[in-house]
Amino acid sequence: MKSIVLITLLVAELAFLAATSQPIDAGLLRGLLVQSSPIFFLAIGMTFVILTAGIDLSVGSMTALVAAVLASFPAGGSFWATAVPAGLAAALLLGATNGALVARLDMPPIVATLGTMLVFRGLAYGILGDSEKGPFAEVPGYFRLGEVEILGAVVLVAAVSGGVLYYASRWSRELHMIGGNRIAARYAGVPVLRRQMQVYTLAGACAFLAAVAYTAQNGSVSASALPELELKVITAVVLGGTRVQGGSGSYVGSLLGVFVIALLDEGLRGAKRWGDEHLPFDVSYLRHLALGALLAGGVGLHGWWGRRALRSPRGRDAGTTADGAA
Amino acid sequence: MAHSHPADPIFAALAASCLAIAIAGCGEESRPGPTGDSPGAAPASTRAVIAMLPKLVNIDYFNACKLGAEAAARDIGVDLIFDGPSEATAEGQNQFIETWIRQRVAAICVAPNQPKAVRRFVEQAQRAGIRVLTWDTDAPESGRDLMVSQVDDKVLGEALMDELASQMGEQGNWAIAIGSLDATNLNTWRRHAEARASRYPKMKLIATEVTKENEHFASQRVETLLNAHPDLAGILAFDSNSVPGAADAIQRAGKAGKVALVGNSTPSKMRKYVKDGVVRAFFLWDPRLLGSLTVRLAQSLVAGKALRPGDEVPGYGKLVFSPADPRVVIVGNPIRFTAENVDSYDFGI
Repeated sequence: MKSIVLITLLVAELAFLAATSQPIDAGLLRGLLVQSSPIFFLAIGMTFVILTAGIDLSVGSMTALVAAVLASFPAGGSFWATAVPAGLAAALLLGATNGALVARLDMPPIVATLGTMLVFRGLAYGILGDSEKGPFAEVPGYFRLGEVEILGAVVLVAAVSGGVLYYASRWSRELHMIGGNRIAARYAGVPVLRRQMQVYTLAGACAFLAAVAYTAQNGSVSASALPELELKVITAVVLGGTRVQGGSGSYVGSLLGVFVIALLDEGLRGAKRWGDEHLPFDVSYLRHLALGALLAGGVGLHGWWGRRALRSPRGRDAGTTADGAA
Repeated sequence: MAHSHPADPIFAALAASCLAIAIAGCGEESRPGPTGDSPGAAPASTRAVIAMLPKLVNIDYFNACKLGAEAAARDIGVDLIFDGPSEATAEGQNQFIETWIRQRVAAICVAPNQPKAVRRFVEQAQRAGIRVLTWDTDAPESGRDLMVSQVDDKVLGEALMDELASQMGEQGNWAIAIGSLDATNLNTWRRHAEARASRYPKMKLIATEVTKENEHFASQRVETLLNAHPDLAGILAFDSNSVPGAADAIQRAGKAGKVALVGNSTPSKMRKYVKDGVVRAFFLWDPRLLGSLTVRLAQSLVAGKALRPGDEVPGYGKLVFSPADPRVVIVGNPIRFTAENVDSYDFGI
């Protein structure tokens, strides 16, 4: 029950907020939901990618690049008919590029997407130069997408459809097999290369949602936007209990992992005044320490849990640590 | 495989329903009235809270601003939050503004990295009854209540250009190193400097390098610039990190004295380069005065005082407004630093 670890962490973070006299109310939930929505969308795609023993380091640059594509169209009502489909097409193409490098050229995912991470960032600079660009304020209805009623609904729909895909599809079972043992999966008749193409393209689609969520909130984008976003996404997914070696994961864990990270950020931002009064150092210095401890501790705990379950004859989680179907 | 742990789908359903409730809940409660919150919503402490957001934290210049702001906050009895992102990004700043709106601070003073991106968050804060000021750099179209500007932009831009021209003997190729092309303050100075350059027809602007307000990055960019243009005779740099970065590159290339460097930066960063003869003169205002005046004016706005030219402010004198915009207060004239006077200024950093 990986989720219990994460829920305990969330409760601990809420206790920290309460202890530092920060309001815990609907506004907090709203803020978390809206601010973390780009990471949330990307974490959905990343879970499937990591499940296949892959990784996508390019998602941050890709989101910035898709946002740049969106921003390069003129404002006005036509934006919906031109920029939005173009942005989606670009996102799918970028995702498929990663897929092709990994599946067709057989590059290690970490190398392929490290390359595209740099290329996508470079292309974003090519489109935007050194200035911010923001037609979004003059697109009728665009900012509505950044408001909690609409964005929350999109998050909910994405989360549920991702969940259905993860828990109830043959496609997802095949991804588990690929991550567990790629060669065995091939012998079992799984179209491995096609699945890999598809999973990276799905990550591209998620980057499109993330780009829309980002631009609808911030109203403009610059080529250096969203630095190190991919690290946050990967942290959330791994903290959530998905094995980087592939083959097993936890979709709900990824979603909870996003909130663990977002709440940590928010808690430390909001604790500044409390920290100035009560701590001998700046409270924001705790951020990296806490994130690192969470990651190491969380993953360590998952591993311990998995091994324990494996030893116990009726352990429910036994299947999750056994490598693949073999 | 995935279906051997039946608890997870239950959690999925649970999480989804929590999310649904949360969204439904926020939808109703996240609408503050157009007139802002009632006075009863003040935090437990009755002191007003003023939040100050620099472009980024942990650099000398903004640390000096912070010292001034803290001193002023102690003097007038307000609580100060001085915090911001560790990289100069718009989304990082916007997250702080959202947090502070939820904490119902009395005033937010922001030095926006990207004026377009901050606009919506300024409006949100104002709808929640928070007074919003810009300081150090402006977002004139955001509808901020007031801008506290360290100098008259035109005076600084022209002073920088005149200094560069005199050091270059009014001739030769020159280049610009600037933190970003978005930050309003840097680019307003740049525009005034470029306009002034028309007085020096024998000088030619050949390149503009963007340095991300990062000293190390600035040094690399200027090094490339020096290699690409061996005939470069002068560099004008527009932020506190670009100038020492450029100075470092010039020194390492052995071009001290051959390439003139002028800009605005802090004495603590520039002292070494001035003493080594890499830089003959640079400019700055007192960043502590900028920080302290921003806090004092924020408190005046929170108290509902109207600000007029000539109003007396302790430790500062009479308020001076910009001739170009009546909602812009100007802190003072730029100070010219040389090897002779650089040690007589201590901004506390």
